[in-house]
Amino acid sequence: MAAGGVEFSEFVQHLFLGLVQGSFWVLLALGLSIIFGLMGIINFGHGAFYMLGAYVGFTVSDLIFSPFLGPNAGFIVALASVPIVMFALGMVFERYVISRIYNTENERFSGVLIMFGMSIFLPDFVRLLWGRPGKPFNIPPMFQFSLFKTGTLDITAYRSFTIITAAILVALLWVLIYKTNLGMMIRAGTNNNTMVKVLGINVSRIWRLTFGLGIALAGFSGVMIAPLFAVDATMGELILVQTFIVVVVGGMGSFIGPVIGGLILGQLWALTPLVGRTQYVVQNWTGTVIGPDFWEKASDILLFIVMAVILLLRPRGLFGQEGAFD
Amino acid sequence: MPILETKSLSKHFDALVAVDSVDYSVDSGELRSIIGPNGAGKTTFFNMIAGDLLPTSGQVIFDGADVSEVPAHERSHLGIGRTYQITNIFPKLSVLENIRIAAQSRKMTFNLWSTVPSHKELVEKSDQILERINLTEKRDELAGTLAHGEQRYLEIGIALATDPKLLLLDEPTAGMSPEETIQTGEFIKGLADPLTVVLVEHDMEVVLGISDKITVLHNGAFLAEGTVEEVRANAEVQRVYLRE
Amino acid sequence: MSRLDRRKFLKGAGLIGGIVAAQAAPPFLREGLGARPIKWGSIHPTTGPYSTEAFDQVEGVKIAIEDVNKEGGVDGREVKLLFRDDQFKWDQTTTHALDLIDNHRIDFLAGSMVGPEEVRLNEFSRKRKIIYANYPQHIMSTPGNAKKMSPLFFTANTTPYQLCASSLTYIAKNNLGKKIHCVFDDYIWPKMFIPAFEKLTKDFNLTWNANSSVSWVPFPTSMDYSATFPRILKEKPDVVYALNWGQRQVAFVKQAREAGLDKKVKIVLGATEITMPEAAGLGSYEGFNAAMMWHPSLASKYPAAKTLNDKFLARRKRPCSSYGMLAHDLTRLILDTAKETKLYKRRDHFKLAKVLEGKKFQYSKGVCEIRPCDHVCISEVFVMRGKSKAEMKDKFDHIEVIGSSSGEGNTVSCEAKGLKEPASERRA
Ligand SMILES: Nc1ncnc2c1ncn2[C@@H]1O[C@H](COP(=O)(O)OP(=O)(O)OP(=O)(O)O)[C@@H](O)[C@H]1O
Ligand SMILES: [Mg+2]
Repeated sequence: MAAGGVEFSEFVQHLFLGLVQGSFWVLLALGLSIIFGLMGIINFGHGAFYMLGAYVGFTVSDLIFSPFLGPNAGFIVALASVPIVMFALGMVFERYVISRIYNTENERFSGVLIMFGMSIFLPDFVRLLWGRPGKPFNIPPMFQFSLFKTGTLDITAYRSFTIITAAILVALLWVLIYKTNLGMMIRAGTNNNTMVKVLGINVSRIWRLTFGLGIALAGFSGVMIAPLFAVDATMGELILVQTFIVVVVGGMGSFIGPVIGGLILGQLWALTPLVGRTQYVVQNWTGTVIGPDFWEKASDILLFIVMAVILLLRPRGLFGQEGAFD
Repeated sequence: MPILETKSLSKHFDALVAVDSVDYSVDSGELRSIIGPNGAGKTTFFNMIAGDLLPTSGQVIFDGADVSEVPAHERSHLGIGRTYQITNIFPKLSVLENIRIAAQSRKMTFNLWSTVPSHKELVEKSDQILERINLTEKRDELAGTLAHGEQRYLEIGIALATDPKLLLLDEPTAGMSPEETIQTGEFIKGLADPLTVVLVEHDMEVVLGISDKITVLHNGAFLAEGTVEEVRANAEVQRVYLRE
Repeated sequence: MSRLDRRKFLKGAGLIGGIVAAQAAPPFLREGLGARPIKWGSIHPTTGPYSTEAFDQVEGVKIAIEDVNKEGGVDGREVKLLFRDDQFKWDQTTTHALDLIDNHRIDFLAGSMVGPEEVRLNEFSRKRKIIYANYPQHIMSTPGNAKKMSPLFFTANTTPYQLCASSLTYIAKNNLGKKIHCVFDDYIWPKMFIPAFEKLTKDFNLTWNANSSVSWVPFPTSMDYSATFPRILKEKPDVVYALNWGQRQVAFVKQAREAGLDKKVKIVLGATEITMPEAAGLGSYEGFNAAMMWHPSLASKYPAAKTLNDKFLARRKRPCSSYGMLAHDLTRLILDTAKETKLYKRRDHFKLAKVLEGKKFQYSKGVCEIRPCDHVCISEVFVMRGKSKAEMKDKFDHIEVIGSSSGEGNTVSCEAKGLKEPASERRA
């Protein structure tokens, strides 16, 4: 089966790749969005904590557990422990750093500056602790196979695993936010923060847990993506920008926004290269044929263009609340 | 025995004197009203009692203790509940959750990770309050979708859920139709005793039938205080207020 | 308690005043009399994405300078390293270069990791007439840049053209296939491989497609090369020629393995460095080929390479990369030549350049020569293969050098570039 010169299997392959990419964006954007919603802090350090998660995962897996449990178990232990470690780290960070700016002048701006500082500090801190070259962190043997063979690019096990894990995580997060007491308070604080304070609810605990949660999500994404990408001190910089695009497009202050935003942009990113492989010839104004190379490169730029269009037409994003930035 | 007292309570915003040395006293179980024209300082006076603003000078004494410097959330725990002139609820939470979160704030130990319907006594308490404010049917709707009048009731419900001894209501009838206003008056009357209620209103007619005593503020200062008849008879009140 | 002697007091005050004044004076005045050290001002991005490589460069420079000093310095003067970190920010490159040249009165300018730094330092060299020791990457070697190149620009780096020539020669000679599909990152360095592709694929009768790329690199991109794989596999090339660097190459290698690309086509990397397989994991480069400027295993072939690598192992706890080696060899070359000729003063730099042009030298690899017309360093280029996990002796032992080529054949000739006279005579 083929449409416009693109085979169905090729289309499915790209859909699959877009789902993987989108899943990571969703997880990261949710963490960013939860922290912003409740605390009003735009977390410029999100990418750095994501990077830290990958490094912690490397240490837990390759240095501590793999040598005597084997790489499979080592990887599972890393996947399970990184969010816990990062959660604790996030809470400690909130307690000893972020909480100092509460009730000061320009507290939100100070928060942004602190997190921006972390995005500069953490990569060099990681280089200091772990050394300067990147760290090897690879797909554990149990995931080194293909689920479906397509003749060209297979539907591989590890990428499928990341999609499923991300989906489960998003579902759990939804239950947490919409069905538990903590979630209710996070939503209340996101909705009307002064009111929560006036009611005499112990907000500091909620804020601490929420910040920890956001950081845990970042760290978990980092360790899960590590086998597919390079583990490097700068790995967070690139993805942070894309995460912001997802949040802007999906909309701040909603749960569904980052989820839909991440999935849509993931598909946009993955399907754009296919345009160049159709039989339809596109020419630019000078008559030159715009070939497949162009469309392969265009997918990343397109994310920015979509963001710009959204900002012009619907500044609050697809599902965002009005006035989220007030 | 007075549950609330203020002693020469003043608030200055730079040169502007919003509240000017007010001495005020409310006994437990009373239903009192404060009236005054726009900008008289009613809300500012409330804000100082509830702790949203700290006084420039003077004292707030609640339940025998000086709370002038106590922050708002602690006063909430001491038993001062309030509503705002501009509706202040959680529009993105359900009606039940709005009440529930307020009820929860009184309970220091509860499991954050447990689901919202757990904790029986909290649910029961919330349901009772919903019954009182007549919103049982709308319990699972988003608060933001309620009609304006219902939202004002919800806000009172939130305040009630914090188990206040003193309830401060800032223009609860603002934006309501005349019929709704009369109903609300009756509803508020039903709240008083054992609760102490202080009500801010623009309009003397609203508070006529329900208040034990009316206080008139003008330009931040205490103009008159007494029963409806006494206040009506007051020549100064006639001059600055009723003739407007 | 003795009375305060007026003369002593004045002396003391004068001394203190002098010290204070000296602290406030510009650095070049502070040294006063005495043998002025020769200052080697070197700018490297030791903060940022290429910090690993930059630290290797600095170490290489340090080792070269320490050794020169141990051997008596240059003309009896000590060589002093003034190292600056430009943090991978080009305005900092400029600021530091200005400070080094004007404030510290350096005798030699050195440094750079990437093109933008090189362009700026080259410009300082041209205008201020100071020898510039360029570590990578010699953008100035491209034909269009010949006029812009400072006549005092020197490098020991192998150019992208040389790297590409050696790997294409390897592909052709070993019959790896006729059809090459390129995955190029879209920025200046990979583009410098294209002229070699255009010429040599014709010579060797190979076909190649223009360029399949993930993105314009300065843009933050997803670094997921997988989206190019379906197309690659559909076109069924014999060889995938990937040109990316640092963490992007690591990501490419991991993704190619994950997708099973390596099982379906031969993968050749345009260039690589020891840090990348190290970051990708044990055996991650197994079966891949790549061109390299140098590799520490050459220590078994060249004694100077062994000395250098041993020093690196002792000081950095890791083998020397080609960045360390290139920085070391070039620093040595310039300082040794300056020592021989005593032409180290700024006013003698053109004379020194004249001596360096055409000079044959050998340190950590086979004999090299600086070609006078464009200062390209004619030197050995190596082809490697990735070892399997079982073959590796330690975590750095990823690579086996399986061949090398050298000579002018790996470059665009001076005639083809239309350059006749030596660069030092080509004054603007
Ligand atoms: N935060 C503030 N900063 C400066 N001035 C203020 C502030 N809050 C209130 N004021 C001023 O203090 C005066 C009293 O205001 P307040 O809101 O207490 O009056 P009010 O009696 O509640 O009026 P209304 O009937 O309109 O609600 C007004 O002149 C108002 O402009
Ligand atoms: Mg008011």
